[in-house]
Amino acid sequence: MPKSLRKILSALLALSFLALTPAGYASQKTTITVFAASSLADSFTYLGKAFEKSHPGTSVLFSFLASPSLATQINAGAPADVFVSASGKDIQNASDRVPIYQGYVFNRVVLAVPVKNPFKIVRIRGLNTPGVKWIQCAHEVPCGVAADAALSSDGTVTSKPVSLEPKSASVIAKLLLGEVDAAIVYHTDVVKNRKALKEIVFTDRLASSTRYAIGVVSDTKQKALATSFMDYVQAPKAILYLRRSGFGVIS
Amino acid sequence: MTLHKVDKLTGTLAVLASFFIIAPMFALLVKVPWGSFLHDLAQTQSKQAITLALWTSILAACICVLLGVPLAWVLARGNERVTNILRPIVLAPIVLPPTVAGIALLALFGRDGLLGKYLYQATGWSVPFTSIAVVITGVFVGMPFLALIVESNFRHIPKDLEDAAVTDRASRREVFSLVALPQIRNGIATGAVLAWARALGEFGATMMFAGSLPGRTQTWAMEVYMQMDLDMGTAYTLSAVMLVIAVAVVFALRKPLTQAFSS
Repeated sequence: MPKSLRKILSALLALSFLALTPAGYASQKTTITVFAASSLADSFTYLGKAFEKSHPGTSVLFSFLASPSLATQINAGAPADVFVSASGKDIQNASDRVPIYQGYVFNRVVLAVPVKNPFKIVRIRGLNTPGVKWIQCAHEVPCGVAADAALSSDGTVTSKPVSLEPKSASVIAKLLLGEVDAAIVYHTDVVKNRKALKEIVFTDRLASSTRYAIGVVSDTKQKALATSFMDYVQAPKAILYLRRSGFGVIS
Repeated sequence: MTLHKVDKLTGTLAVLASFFIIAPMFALLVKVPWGSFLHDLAQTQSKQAITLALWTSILAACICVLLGVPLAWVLARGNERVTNILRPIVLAPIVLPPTVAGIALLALFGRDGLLGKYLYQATGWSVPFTSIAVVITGVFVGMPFLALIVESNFRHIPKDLEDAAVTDRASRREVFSLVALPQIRNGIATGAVLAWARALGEFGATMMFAGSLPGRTQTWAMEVYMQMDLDMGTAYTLSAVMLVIAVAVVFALRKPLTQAFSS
């Protein structure tokens, strides 16, 4: 073995020992795994931490991806305890393992533009301006389904997106990175990035909306904890937080 | 080497190793819904993705050859103080995670990237979300393979041949193009095919840098990912064809590959 390679290997070995120190070592905590739509990443990370605080000795692990991908993984036996999808259809597709679920908060897609707004887009049909690069979610994922419905209900947009992104988080990331001039994103993404983005809403609120759904995976080994997490995120305090983050709730 | 030279334990471990590699590929082929095989492949989405992946990867491979062969020549014959530093850097993409490659390409070519910024200011045009971005990603991930194989081939050329050419007053470029190049035609082909296959299969970096739009940037590998959540059968079918291509490539190259890596 070359000397340099040996040095690198021993450095890596030392590094992996660091992971065993208390900070990286998962202690005797009870853990639940929550599969949640990528649009929930920020708010659920926050709610998860709050849940851990109010339930000492527990820890919540999240997997944030596009809802159809999460449904596929759950159907393939992924070790999830709770599933929160961004649409009813996706949780239905996982109904073998999530037979019972409830409607949850709402979200709606809006047209978001950077505050600088180089193309001065102020209406939905501003997307037709020559040279504007805009993106949306793929047709298969909830944010894409809502975007398609909102655009077709609006009926003024004739230009095509330059990319159909696999999940809502990738759309907002590319818009914030400045790679595109506009994007159809969730209202909650704009709320989170108020300083950087402006939004233009679709007049058809129903078409542009999606309703999240939440359910416990039936064969979970942590039924009690999973159920109390589900209750926690549906309690008034959590709902108030979600509403402040831009989600819609039935009052 | 004959079989009786292998002891039992080593043999068993070798069988286990082969199992880990062969069994998943076998399972994939078993799962393919052969009844709808042609139908799945003929879907517009599939056809678009395959066509796009093929032309972008072939173009990427051509660029790799055009630029990578001279690079390999420099690595093989250049000043060692330079090449000893240059070689590990240009080979790094081989072990780089695709996501890191994607971020790196955005950092350079993105609208706010080191180069992309000026390009965008000057022309209003940027690389991401174009088929060109797919090609550039292919060049980035494929070039190291070509350079690796071709450099190794250059090193195998007998020195006397070049020395003889120099005594016959061949210029430096003539030594490269008239003496060295013809000797390693097979090596270039091997490197090109490997670079092509690598570019054809790239997924993560492409999705981050080029986005995903049917017909423009949604490649074969990306379509497999998308189909997994839509129609598993189509995902299996698309994967099976890629698998066959991969095995065929390695099979066709088995001799030159063993040569390139021995010495």
